[in-house]
Amino acid sequence: MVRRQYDIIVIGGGHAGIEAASASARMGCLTALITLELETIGRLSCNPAIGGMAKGQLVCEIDAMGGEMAKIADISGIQFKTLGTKKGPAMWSPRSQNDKDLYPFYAQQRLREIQGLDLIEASVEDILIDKGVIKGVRLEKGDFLSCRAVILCAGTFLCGRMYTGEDQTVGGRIEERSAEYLSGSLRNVGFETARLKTGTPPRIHRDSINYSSCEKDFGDENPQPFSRSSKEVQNQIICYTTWTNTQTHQILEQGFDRSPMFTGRISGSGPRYCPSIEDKVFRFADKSGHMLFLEPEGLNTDSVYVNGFSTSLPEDIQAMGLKSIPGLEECKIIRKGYAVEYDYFPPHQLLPSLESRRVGGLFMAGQINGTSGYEEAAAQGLMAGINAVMSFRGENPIILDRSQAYIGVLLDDLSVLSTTEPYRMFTSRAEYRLLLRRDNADIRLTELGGNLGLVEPRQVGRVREKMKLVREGELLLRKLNAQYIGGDGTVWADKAWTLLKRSGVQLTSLVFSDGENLPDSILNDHEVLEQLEIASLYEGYIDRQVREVNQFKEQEEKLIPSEIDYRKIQSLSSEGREKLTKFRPRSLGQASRISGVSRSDLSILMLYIK
Amino acid sequence: MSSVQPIVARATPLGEGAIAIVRLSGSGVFEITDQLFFPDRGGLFSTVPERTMSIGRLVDGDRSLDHPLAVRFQAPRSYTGEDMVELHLHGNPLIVDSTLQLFLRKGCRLAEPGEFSRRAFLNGKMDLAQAEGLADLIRAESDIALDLAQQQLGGELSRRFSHFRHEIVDFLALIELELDFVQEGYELLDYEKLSSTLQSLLSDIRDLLVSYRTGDLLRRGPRILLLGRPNAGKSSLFNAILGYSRSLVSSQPGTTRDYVEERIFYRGVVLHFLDSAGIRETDDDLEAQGVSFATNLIPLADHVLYLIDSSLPESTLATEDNHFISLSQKYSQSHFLKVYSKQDIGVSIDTAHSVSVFDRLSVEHLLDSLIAQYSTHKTDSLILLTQRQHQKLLAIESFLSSISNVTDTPTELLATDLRAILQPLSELTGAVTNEDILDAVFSGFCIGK
Ligand SMILES: Cc1cc2nc3c(=O)[nH]c(=O)nc-3n(C[C@H](O)[C@H](O)[C@H](O)COP(=O)(O)OP(=O)(O)OC[C@H]3O[C@@H](n4cnc5c(N)ncnc54)[C@H](O)[C@@H]3O)c2cc1C
Ligand SMILES: Nc1nc2c(ncn2[C@@H]2O[C@H](COP(=O)(O)OP(=O)(O)OP(=O)(O)O)[C@@H](O)[C@H]2O)c(=O)[nH]1
Ligand SMILES: [Mg+2]
Repeated sequence: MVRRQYDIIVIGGGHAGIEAASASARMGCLTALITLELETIGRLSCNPAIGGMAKGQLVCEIDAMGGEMAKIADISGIQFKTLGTKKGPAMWSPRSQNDKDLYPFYAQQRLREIQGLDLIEASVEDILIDKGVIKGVRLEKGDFLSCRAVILCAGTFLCGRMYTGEDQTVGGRIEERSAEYLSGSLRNVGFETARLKTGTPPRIHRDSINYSSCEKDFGDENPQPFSRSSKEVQNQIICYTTWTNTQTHQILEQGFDRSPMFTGRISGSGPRYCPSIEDKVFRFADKSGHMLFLEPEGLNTDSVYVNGFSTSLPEDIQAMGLKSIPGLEECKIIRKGYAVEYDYFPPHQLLPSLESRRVGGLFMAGQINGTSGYEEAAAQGLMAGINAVMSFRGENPIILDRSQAYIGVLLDDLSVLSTTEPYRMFTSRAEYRLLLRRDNADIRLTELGGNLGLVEPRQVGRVREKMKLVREGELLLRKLNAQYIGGDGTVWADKAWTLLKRSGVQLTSLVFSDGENLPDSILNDHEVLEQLEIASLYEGYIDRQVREVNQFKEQEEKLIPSEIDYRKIQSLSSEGREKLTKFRPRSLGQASRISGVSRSDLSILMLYIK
Repeated sequence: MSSVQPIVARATPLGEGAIAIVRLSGSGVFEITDQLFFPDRGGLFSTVPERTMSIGRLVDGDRSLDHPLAVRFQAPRSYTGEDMVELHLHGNPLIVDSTLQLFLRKGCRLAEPGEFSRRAFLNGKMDLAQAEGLADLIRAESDIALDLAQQQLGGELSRRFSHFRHEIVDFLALIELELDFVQEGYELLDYEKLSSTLQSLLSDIRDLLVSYRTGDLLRRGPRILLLGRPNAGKSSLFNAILGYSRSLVSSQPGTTRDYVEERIFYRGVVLHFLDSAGIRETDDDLEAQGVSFATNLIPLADHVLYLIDSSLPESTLATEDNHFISLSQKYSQSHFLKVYSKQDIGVSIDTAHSVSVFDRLSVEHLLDSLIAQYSTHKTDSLILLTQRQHQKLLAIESFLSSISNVTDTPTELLATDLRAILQPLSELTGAVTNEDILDAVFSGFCIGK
């Protein structure tokens, strides 16, 4: 259904748009999601995989706050793996391979079930702004829809250009059009834009692969879902790995003079952590081979994704290169690899709530903010959705800080540091990563999600109950004596809590002394047991991080008045003045993270904070 | 008023004056002072009327630091507008330093440049024009600090530190690579190399701290305490060193009650000498106080000269030997030296440390041996560190010594430890951001799919 008037309009049905629309409507605002094609809502533009290091934690946080991604990933998942299990629990990161058709199918199904959410197929050409206030949006045929807030989630579609070799086509994703006017109309009202690029590898036919030359890559024996509310998940496919070789590299080099990257036709910067195969060959000439993952894109498709072979080289070179690789000698390309270049809005133009500094009620989320990745997009979409509602209600925005969630790290990095290359989440970006784990995402965020009305009260109650059991369990473990029998028969006796600190010791393998034991309510709850084991393993380190967090919060709470005019503060260093003017930090803590703002600049700034 | 962290700093310029003022400001300064300062007239410092001087004892545990005057200013009637305390100490740099350290340990933080004035401004005690002036001052002060840091950047030592910083960033890059790209299976960290780098960083920092202490000692001059039994000849030696009669001398044991301090320049070095009450068990209350004063002085002294009267009978000399050993073991941080006095009438003992006040040469011998260790240090080879830099080094030292065994530490915890070290290290050499570490990762390795 199309109405003339909405509370909130979301532009773009990618991963940011899905979360934004869902949160906004479920929090009670009449919402429209307008997107170029309804059928492509939730499409996985690149690799049909969700999660991975740091990204998996993001997905669990989205789930804890009541977002969509974890649940969609669980039902459409066909292989599940927890990465980082050889490291400690802070590094455990869930990842799934997903069916590329089922993911959008379930995404669309979930959205259709939400009350107060209309899905509209159209291109938005203009956002109408009157004296810095949102009035509504204009569609390509001239229709006008009014609203109080807009969440822009246009992904890679703003003036999208796709490249393969010397071919250039207009579009934001293969076989899809681009939005040609929107970024220009925002530029006209003073927004800054720049170009970024990203790429995707060719897809090949599954029957054209000689699997006997490849290694098998299985999912976990005991696959774990992302969402606390999902029951069981199952592995249904096997992936394979193979390697490029020097012959492959020589073939690829022959195409360099026709590559848009080397001829300079693409000017936008690409992600350094996800380089194209030509980039890898060029920059790491001494490496004789690069690993490739062959990942089926679904259960009912012939398409296999060649992970690690992202490229915009000419199609003939792509084909020849692939054929030099063991297992791919006879491979048939279903869809060529390509690079896409698009407009983004450097995110220092946003507040940490993702609201534009310039136009009240205009929110931006996802790839247009310079990030890359579904999870990063979804996390922003969720927060933009929540905060658009808060702004609609005239309430204060919800801002997670760096010690609360990876989501907080993401939004803080974007709004404070901006980015000039596609930004991806890494665990190393989180100073408090020992605290920001997937296992405690619910403990950190469910209460908040409940307060916002996004998480069911039953789930909030469950998390509260769990936290209570964890507290009780810890007290008991510190009190009770226990024994642990090592693999070689050595017997260790100590307080149970102390024994747990030994790496590899599990709670269930302790033998308590004097006939004591933990109550069944704890023993039968594997989530509680996990919390207890981790708390004792990381004790000390966690205390230290908590102390650091407290110091950090002290700085974050020193707010800088938004009307401050840095040009008038003569004693600031000139670089400090320039950076502060550009990034307009909200707090002293944020100011301290901007490179070029010195200690003495901070001291001086403190003078102006009351 | 909301809670503000208590800060402390000396208010009078560095160097020696008759009096040094140490200021405290912020929440809880009265309570902190109550634990350390005891007014002579009794009662708690926090209950004496505001803006009046009270005299009392400043103590650190069971040792007495000084006998200062203290004033209390109740918020908002103070310079900063917060609760404030002023301590008027005897202008001895050692007392001032120990006092600052004492308050730092009790939870105060060293004030940033201009922080007292900034707080005054924040609390409406200063107008904007005054504040602007202050901002320039902060700029200037920090520039001086920066100059100093840059001068040091040219120097050999800081080169070594930025070298360590680079090395640690590189190690961290390997660790983050291993963690963030776990699927790619990078395990490139050379644990032995990391361990030896951290070892050599630790030993460099320890050298630097020792050198800092020596340099600091040279600037303010070492403090030498004359200690011994009553009648050992302490006051006589004290006078002989000064060249005039400063302390009372008599054949009556227990002559010196309070302690007396004087300084001399000897061959270009400043030396502070302290004469103290002879130590013994006593019923006399006043003398007992003096005795406890004397022992309290031991930890404050850089050198302790323990005088033994060489004219005493052989058996007594043996007991004195034992007493010397037990004292020097008890106060192991100070350098103890055994000095035999009254050589003109006692058994002759052949060491550089046997003196007679009638033999000027023997006294000079003693002094020469005292300053020998200082004059071997060329002053310009010593590094000048600000108190802040010194604190950073101590912080690094304590983090480093807490890392027990790098191979047994889980990778993500090792990363946490290295970041903890980088934090203070980067304040000595320049900031390290997350982006720096990622840069090191991406420039060195081919990662990503
Ligand atoms: C070729 C390619 C390669 C990629 N490679 C990688 C990679 O290697 N690694 C990685 O992490 N990520 C990669 N991605 C990025 C990943 O797909 C995105 O990060 C993620 O999908 C972004 O989500 P989003 O919601 O911001 O936008 P998108 O998923 O791009 O969705 C944008 C939506 O907005 C709609 N839209 C746009 N403009 C308008 C308008 N004016 N009116 C109405 N609707 C509009 C579009 O129809 C679309 O549905 C790649 C993307 C592409 C296209
Ligand atoms: N012959 C000789 N007599 C000395 C010498 N040094 C001190 N005396 C005498 O020893 C006695 C005690 O000297 P003080 O200097 O008062 O001793 P002290 O250690 O200060 O004693 P108290 O203050 O009581 O602890 C005096 O009578 C001095 O004259 C010395 O080198 N030679
Ligand atoms: Mg005397």
